[in-house]
Amino acid sequence: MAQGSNDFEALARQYWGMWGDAVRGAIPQAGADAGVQGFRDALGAWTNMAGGGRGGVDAVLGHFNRQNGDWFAQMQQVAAQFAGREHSAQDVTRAWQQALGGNPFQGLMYGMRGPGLQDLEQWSESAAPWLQNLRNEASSTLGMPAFGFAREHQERLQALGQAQLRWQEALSDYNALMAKASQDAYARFESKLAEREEPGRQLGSVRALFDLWVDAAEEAYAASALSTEYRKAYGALVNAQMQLRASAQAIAEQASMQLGMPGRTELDSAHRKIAELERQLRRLQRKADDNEPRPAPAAVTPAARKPVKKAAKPVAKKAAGKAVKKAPARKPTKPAARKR
Amino acid sequence: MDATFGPLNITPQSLAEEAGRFQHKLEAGLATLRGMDDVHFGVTAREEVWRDGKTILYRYRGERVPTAKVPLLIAYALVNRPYMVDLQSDRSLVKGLLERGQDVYIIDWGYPDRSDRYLTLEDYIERFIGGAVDYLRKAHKQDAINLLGICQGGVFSLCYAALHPRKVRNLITMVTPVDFHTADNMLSNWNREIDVDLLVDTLGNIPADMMNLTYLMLKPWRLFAQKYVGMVDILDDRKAMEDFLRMEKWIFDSPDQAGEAFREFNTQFFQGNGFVKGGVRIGDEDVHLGLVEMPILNIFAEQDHLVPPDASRALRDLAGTDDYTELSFKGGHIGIYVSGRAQKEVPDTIHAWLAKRSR
Repeated sequence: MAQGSNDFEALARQYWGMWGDAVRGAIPQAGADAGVQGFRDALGAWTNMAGGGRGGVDAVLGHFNRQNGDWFAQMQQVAAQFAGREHSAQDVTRAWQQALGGNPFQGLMYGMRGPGLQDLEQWSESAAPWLQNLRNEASSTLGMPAFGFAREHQERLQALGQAQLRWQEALSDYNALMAKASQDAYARFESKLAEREEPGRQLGSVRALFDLWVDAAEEAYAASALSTEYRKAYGALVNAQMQLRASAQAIAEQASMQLGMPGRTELDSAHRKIAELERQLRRLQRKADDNEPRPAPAAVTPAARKPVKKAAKPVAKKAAGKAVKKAPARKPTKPAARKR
Repeated sequence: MDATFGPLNITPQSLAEEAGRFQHKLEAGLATLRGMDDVHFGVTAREEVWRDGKTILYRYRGERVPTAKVPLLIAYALVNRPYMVDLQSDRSLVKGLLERGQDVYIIDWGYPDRSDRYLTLEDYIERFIGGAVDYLRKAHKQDAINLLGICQGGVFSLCYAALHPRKVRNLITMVTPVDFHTADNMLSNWNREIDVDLLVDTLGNIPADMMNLTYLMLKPWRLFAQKYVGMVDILDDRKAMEDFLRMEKWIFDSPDQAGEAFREFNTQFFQGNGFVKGGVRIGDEDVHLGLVEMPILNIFAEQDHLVPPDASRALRDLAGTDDYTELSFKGGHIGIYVSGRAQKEVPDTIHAWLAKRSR
């Protein structure tokens, strides 16, 4: 343990030294990226030392490493540009925008991956080589009428090619909306920074600056995400992805069938039958139970319970009473009595 | 520093000091993380008392014999796992209720696999909740039991209570959406243009990964970037890190969603807003909240980003009961179970409210 800490201290000195030099401009030829890289290297070394093959912990450390390396390191670099120098809210916003580019929302969402997080786009990436082959095969015939003995096969390929084009279009529309939200976030960031120009309200740390950006970005995102425009773009993206996936699955299933292997449809059909049979069986069982005299139910005996270790504290009802508001409910007109 | 410098009061010296503090935290974090075992959750002893398929009914065992004669059944949502109500020793709604004398049961829906794709809302409400309620009525020789529905489990509980009002003595809903079309409901906004039939027909069950991602996307900067950047603050605090990792475990320990139930829930509630506009149908039965005539305690969170308070408040005007009570909790969707204040306020309120209605 102590050895590990010493190793990290030595490594950290090296990395932070590099970072510090870059921040102070001691190595101007290294450019702004040198500081970010030094920070990322230090984080990477730390993450390797702190992990240890424990799934849950390693996943969290992975997120910690990436989010600090992606966002916080860049914010450090931006703050360093204005340390001890005269600047305005607009200067800081411009520098931040230059560091992140026009659509940081897209970058954030692209980075939302790891255990328990697989997005729609990721499936397309995994299937990309296969999809590309199919597309190449289908691209020349996307609009052609299908005929002959391979008609059905050709139509499936055409559907796949068209679905992929629709998905790319929907993704592009969604990204454009996120780019718009990003611009709104930068505007809100600048406005919030301007409020901090007052004496006594200035931001004194990189973390405070980063947190202010998060506030601005979340406000802009919420305004977009609650809009009808977002609803349509998001719906179109999910629907296009599902069409693409369904088209690919249809081809994969067809191929499986040709090899004599059961496909999803066949398995689903069996599961559906089982679920329906279970439902019918329960209905019959319920009817039979209703018609038969029941034995007296077994009571829960206190003797079977775990012995008491200590008495509970008396309840402070005051707190509950204070917190609770009793509100008279408006009684709506009742619907016609149910059939049952 | 001169106030005219701009919005940042940062110097090369203060930058270096901040970086130094970051480095010290990382160093301390090595010792913290290496000394930690895997996180544990679900602290209260419990025993299986009934099972149907993958759904299991558990009875919690506290340190005292329950004084309540009527059992309290907790129905959690299908998304995420129900151990959120008993996460750890100092953050447990279950423990708080047991300490006050309640006899607490919980339904664990399990992890649906592809063979469960055709489970419907009727299965979840009539077969599983109904089965558990009937078991408890028999076991405790009661005509009706107390039901506590949480989030989506609250929607299920409302449906069950409307369909079987004589079997529910008192109904408690926690962070339960009733009006799905309030202007601040982001999830509902996203759902409305989705072709749910295409989604379910293509995916079968809805993967947990997709659900997790959807929830993170509600506040992507705060829930993904800022949370992990801020983790550095607690790297030298073993207890805080354990709490953090336990919460991470819960957040990503999500079951897949049975396809048909997902289809029905999204169509009838997220898209159709069925409790408000009508049209909720479970199996062959129509559901009307006007038939929910038993006493209701409706608990919601004022800063809930998943279920906005107004979505829950709508129950007041729709339920048929004359005995309606609200608790507006100052906190969020998760804080209502795990925050320090919740540990007293929520079980106190539930117990006091039930006690009044058990005389």
